[in-house]
Amino acid sequence: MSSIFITALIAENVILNKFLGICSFLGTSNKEKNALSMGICTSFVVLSSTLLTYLINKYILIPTDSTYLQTITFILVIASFVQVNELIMKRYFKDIYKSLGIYLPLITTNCAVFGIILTNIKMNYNLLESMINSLGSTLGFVLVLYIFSLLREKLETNNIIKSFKGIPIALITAGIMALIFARI
Amino acid sequence: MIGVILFTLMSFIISILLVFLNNFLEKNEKEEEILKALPGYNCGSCGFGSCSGMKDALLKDKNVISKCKFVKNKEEIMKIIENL
Repeated sequence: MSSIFITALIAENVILNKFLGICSFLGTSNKEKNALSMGICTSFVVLSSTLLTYLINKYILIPTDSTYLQTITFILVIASFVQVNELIMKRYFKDIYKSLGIYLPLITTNCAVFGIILTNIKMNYNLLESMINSLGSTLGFVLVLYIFSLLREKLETNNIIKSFKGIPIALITAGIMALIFARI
Repeated sequence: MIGVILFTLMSFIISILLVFLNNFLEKNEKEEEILKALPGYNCGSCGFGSCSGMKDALLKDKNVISKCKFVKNKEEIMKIIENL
């Protein structure tokens, strides 16, 4: 149980080891607050769709022998949860909704979300195990996003060579972080 | 084949639920806007007890706004109700 959690959290981190969800990783990590709210939104989507996709897969798709519909069904579930998330954010957290902008509906196409859910199905986890795997993966996602946003905020005030400013130095930082995570 | 039918059914159910959620949240937001535009004294002289009672009555019939003795921005409230 705990080995699944630790593996998902650090050894097979979604961003730095599987290289999933790089788009939102680079896009929303420019500010600490943005990174945290993006992480929380993604966690909500991943956890709720893990529960629903597990139930749908076990009680609808496998009994009716139609596992070829897995991909499209999972995308449907993820997209609807993203919509729910977006509606709630729009109603109750308007400033975060505005500062995240296009990246909020783009959780739908965030491959980290789909990747975690597919891993759960491929590894034949039961409900508890898949919830733990999703929890560990999303915590890893939030952790890396948060550390990276702190580093980027620090980098912005530092004196960097002009040609390395912005995205290039962020990519180099991400590479070094991946090296560190691979050796933990 | 049965899987495809079930998938279609699922998407229908999910879309209907999303529409309901959206309508509910939007109505909720409008109600809050009306409450903000009302004077907020909760004096009860309109006969509905408080400003939130007035708001519920306004959603049914917008002419009851004339019962409020303190409201100054009638046009603004009318606009919010008409956009509902």
